[in-house]
Amino acid sequence: MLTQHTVLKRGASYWDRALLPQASFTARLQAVQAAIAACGDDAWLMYGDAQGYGPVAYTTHFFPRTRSALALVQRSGEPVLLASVGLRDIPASKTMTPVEDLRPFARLPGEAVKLVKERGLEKARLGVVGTTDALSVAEWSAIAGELPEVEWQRRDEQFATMRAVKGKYELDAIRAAAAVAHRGLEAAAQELAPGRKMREATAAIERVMRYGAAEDVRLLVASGPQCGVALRPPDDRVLEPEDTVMLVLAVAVQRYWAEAAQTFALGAASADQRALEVKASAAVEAMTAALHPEAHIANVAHAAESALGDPALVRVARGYGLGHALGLDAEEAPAIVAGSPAHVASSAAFGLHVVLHAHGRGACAGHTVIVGHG
Amino acid sequence: MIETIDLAADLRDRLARVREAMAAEAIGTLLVYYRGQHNMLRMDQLMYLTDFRSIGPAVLVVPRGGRTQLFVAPPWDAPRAREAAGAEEVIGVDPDGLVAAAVTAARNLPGPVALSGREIMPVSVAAAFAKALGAEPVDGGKLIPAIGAARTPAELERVERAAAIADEGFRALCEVARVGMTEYELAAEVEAAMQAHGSEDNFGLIAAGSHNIAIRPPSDRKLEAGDVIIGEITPCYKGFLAQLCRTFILGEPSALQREKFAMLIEAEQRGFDVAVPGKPSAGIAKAVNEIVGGAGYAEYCRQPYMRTRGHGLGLGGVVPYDVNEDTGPILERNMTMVIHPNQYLPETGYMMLGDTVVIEANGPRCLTKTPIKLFWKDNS
Repeated sequence: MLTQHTVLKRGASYWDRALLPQASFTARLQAVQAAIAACGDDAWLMYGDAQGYGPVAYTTHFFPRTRSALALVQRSGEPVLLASVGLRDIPASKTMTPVEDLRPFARLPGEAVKLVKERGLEKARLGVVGTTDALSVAEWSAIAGELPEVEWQRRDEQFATMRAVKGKYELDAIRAAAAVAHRGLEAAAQELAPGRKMREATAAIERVMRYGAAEDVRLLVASGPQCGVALRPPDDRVLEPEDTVMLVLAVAVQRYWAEAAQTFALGAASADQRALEVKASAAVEAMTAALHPEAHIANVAHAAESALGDPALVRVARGYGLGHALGLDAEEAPAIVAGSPAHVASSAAFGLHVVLHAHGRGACAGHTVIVGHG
Repeated sequence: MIETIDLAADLRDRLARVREAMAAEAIGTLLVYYRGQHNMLRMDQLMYLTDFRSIGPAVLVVPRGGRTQLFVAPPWDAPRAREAAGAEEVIGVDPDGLVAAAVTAARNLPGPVALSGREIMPVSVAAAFAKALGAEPVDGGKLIPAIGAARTPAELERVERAAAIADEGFRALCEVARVGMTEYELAAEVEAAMQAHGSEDNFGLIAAGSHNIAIRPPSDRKLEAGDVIIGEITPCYKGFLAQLCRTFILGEPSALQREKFAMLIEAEQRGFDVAVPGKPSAGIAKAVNEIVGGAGYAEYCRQPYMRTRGHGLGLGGVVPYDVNEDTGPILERNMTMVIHPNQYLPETGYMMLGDTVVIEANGPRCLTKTPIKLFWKDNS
């Protein structure tokens, strides 16, 4: 689910080689190089920024904490990584990635053009991944303008297809993130209490997740009357004795995301409130049951909406989305949408969530589901 | 914290000044695009006029007269946007329909249309604007940063609060740092302390080692006795950032460390001395570098050892931006900035010292209140 972006990824920043060994990146690099050859391209430029680093992290395990990075992957050989860091930051940055050739940049276009020319690719057929929806038009115009003889090809779809199937190591990393998310929910049960400001409670919840080596933590909440309206970032509202609290959290560990959502009752919940919570949970469970390799995404969405029944609830849940694949990006394709022509990959991870508001009340449920075994 | 300034009036004043600038530039309608990717070194122009810190992409439509319209994605975030003091009319839209909705609204407003946010605009969004507008818009990207160079009373109140939170973060660091905890656990403690005091975001870097090359993000390295812990702590309070840089030694500092840190204190003070209205911001960098360079470290006052001697801080990056010797604007009253003579030295490694200040008539006033000194914890 979309959450508020932070000015910096400031959590645990290192490469856990036991969880994601070097060999896992070698395999991914080979897969990308095979895709480049299959497309008839000479190389791919894979771009990512702090908000969506999947394309660049896939082969490099590097993620920009702020601003951006670009990987050049040719049909053979090792990738080159351009990162928006200073020269003095290179030693620390190198501990995060298996890529040996890591170069800093202050301005991306100049360094990218220089790299393309250095590799003799100024008249080549180059695929680009992640540039359309993330790279600024000013930077792209500068790069394309300096390389007029390059034949550019968008390869976002090819990359999306490739990364939709998660390998064993990727699923292990997502499980690790999901475990931290679960710890966050357990902490919430302790920390959400009447008399406490929401922000104080979420600070304590986030602390637990950061102790679990989270790189990034995102929280959306609603409490008391807010539950009937919408989710929001944590605020200074003081929790009251009979409050309901909705909590949606997303967490990244070793570049991989997981999410979870739960409704907490600080007092005795009314029958109507409990019924709403049951609806949300039932919809998530229905999706979970429908998620299996090669399943139609439309059927997964239908399972949730059938469980909800009430068209008004379906409309609210659709507004937040019912879930999506996840991995290196917090939201990956396919999204779980009614009528989607997409299928579940043979091995994948999904963040499922159902958020409901009705008659001044609210409820949410959600978790991360692994499909297949990598 | 109870805010004492009339925020709505403050926002009305900002909007009025933007409209004056639009009139001077013969702009009929200004579209302010914000991607939702918050950045310490880039001004959030949309929040400047609305007091709304977006989750997703958003466009503010500002006609030279009449009501502004704020288009917000995702639609479920619209109720929160409506609570913002500067939001006059809020329309929730799907991200894919954001640009078309905003441009459609602008079609009924006076032209020419100017667009702000192109420097952060993804290729696909720029294409959507070009298609919807049917013509290349006037570049309106520099209009608001120029007006927002100095803090208004409401802005300054928030920067002061952010500075107080930064002090709280460093207090937590001093209190909890211990041998055996990882860098990221220490960062988690600092983060939690600041969030509990109102921080909603943080450009926070905390690293440790016996000889640091530079500041870096927290890793899984475990703290050791004698470590030099360096912290760049930058909490965000209601959109406004303040920064505190300090050095903390996990043990008794050596005479050399004390001596070199004293040099940084002198350098910071020399920077403060010239941070006065009417003087160029470049003078701060020159003053700091005179002290450090004069001590025999001139080559360490340049890249790759040193990036900048400070930068404007407020609603993201603001004037005077990076503080370097070669260029910089004239300082004005109520500009807020961090001045940090952070320095790599071959004998001690990287040490950090920096404070957020507001430029007042007679010079800078420190908003961060943490004592300007080297900190340490004796484990004996």
